[in-house]
Amino acid sequence: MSTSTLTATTTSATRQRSNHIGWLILSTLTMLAMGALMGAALLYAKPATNLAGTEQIAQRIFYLHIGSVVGAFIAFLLSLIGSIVYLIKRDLDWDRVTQASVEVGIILGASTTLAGAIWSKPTWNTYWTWDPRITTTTITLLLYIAYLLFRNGIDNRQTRARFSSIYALFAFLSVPLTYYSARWFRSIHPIVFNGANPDAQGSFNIGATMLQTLWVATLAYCLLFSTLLIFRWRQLRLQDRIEALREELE
Amino acid sequence: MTFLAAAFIGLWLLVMAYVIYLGQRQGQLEQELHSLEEAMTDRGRQ
Repeated sequence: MSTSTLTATTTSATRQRSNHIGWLILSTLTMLAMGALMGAALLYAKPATNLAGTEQIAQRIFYLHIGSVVGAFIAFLLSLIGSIVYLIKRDLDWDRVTQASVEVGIILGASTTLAGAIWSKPTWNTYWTWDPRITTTTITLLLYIAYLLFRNGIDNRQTRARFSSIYALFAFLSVPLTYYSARWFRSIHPIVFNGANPDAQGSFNIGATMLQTLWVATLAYCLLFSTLLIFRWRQLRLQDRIEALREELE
Repeated sequence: MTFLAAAFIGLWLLVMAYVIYLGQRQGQLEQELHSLEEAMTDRGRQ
């Protein structure tokens, strides 16, 4: 082995080790933040004063509901960025960013929907209603699940990346539609950020401890998203490397 | 309390299921990479 090859191998191994340590630190921070979120949501945050009984207890689902929706939003936004950068640079690493973001976004989006469905039973007296916000969220999730199925249908790696990037660009249109649906259409879903919905059922005022818990939830879910994204992105890179090796052998 | 517990458990299960899937996939990929590397070494020897 030549000196330059040996140096390159050593540098690559050192980089891989430091990346691995970085990811381990990130995952430890994520676990701590998620633990803090559980404590804050269940014990620290004061209950909503205008609610009572089961509705008041169930209100604590709010922190996981909002945390996961923020994580899902960041995931879908990153998938948009990934697809745009891929289409400009044609670098497969960005296609992997898009795929990993979509996968994690689906998990967090499904978490949002699940938490919302369970919370709506004591609040709206039903697990499911075709409210504009819930309907558009479901459409968004289905569009992104279809993205993953669509990818699997294309064999050529570059063609798959190109077409699925174009798909991801258009799929993102459903994200702002979901955000504005409770404002544009008649909805009973409360509006948490920038505004209020007079028709909303189950609304409550956010006090100081609630706001602090909301920040913990946002941070915890951002960390969770980052940890899962990095792990999945590296896994997809390994998958492509295996594909390349297999082609080389054949 | 039932709704609160159901939501918290449900969300954790969802995330854990994805983490387990990622772990299993990682194991499969590492095994595949190992066997490919062995096949390449064998070919190199021949």
